[in-house]
Amino acid sequence: MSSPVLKIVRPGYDVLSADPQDFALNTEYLLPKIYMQKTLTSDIDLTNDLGYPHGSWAFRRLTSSSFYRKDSPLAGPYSPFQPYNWFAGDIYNEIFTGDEYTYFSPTSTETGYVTGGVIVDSDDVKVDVLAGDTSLSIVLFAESLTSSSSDIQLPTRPYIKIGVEGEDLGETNLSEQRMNTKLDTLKIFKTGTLTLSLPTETLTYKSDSVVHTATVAHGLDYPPMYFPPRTVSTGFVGQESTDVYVDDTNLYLRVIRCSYGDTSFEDPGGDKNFSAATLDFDYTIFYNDITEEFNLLE
Amino acid sequence: MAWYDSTPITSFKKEYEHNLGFKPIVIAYVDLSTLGLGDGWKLMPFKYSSWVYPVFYLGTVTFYHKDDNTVVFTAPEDAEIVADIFIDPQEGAWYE
Repeated sequence: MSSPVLKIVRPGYDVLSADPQDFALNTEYLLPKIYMQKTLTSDIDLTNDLGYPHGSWAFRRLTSSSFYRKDSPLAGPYSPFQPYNWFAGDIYNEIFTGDEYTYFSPTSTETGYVTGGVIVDSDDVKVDVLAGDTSLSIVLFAESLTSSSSDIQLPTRPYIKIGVEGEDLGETNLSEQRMNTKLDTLKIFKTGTLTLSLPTETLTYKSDSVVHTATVAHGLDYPPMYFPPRTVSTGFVGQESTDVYVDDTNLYLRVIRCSYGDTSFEDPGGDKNFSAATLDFDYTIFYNDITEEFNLLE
Repeated sequence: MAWYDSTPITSFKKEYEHNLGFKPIVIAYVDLSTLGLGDGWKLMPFKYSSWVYPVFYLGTVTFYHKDDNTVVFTAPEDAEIVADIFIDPQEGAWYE
């Protein structure tokens, strides 16, 4: 049995024969429904107005006080002959300036702090802002992650609603709707591959760290959501730190390489040699503004 | 001791064949209760640590594209994961 669908195809394609990925809109597939965005500066448990577990994203706003390991762990497994990492250079005055956003991840912290960021259960949306960050911006989706869902009354306003085949459109269960324009959705702006080519190089004993950065300019004048949820390092766990973040201008992929300091016996660590490497980040940038706030249930 | 200086928790793999012929955007969540980490759902991938004296364990929940037709999810045993697989490619889409 066929059911009504709404399809809009990209220019140059036939709506009757285009492949699914060539549609700008195709309600045979569910559109993610965002019901709330909120930016919080302190920990809070918000009431989950949907009453069931649902998807969520969380973006940290980074500052110079955001967690970033800048002490000097040994550059490898413990050995008294193994030199410590050495951190010097202007980059350590500007690791983050206050305008950068990145995904929260437990690996954003030293101890794998899993309760941080946002966690959603049936009753609550638990928000935990990482110490040192300015804020945490959360994005809440309406689709249920379990078999449970419930009827939600949305405010009265003009809208288009398309249901899952066989479901009653008169019902108000958001998980049974392919599209509901009373709620927001993810809007893809740009996809591509961000490539960072790291050269073979040698950092001499106690020399300044070297920074390699690849960027993609989005030109949106606000920090957009991106995917996949790559984030920033805890700092130097090994020889390098690798960071992915976004600001008003660019999406960044950054690697910082540091030199050797002394050993535990205060002997000079010598030169540190880095191999060439290529990092590829297949990104999607959305039009959605990380900092925007709304509650479409109200 | 920090999370990077720890004993890994054994991970298991689960493959899902979408057969799209390209690598799609994948958004996935894990039920923290199935990892013994309390209630609620969290976006993955991530790493986490747990301390059971005298061992500091490190767990990883993640996914990757095995090829253009298969996504592989890896997590500790009995982890419950819900994934949204988009019809949009992760790279090479027409929006550029």
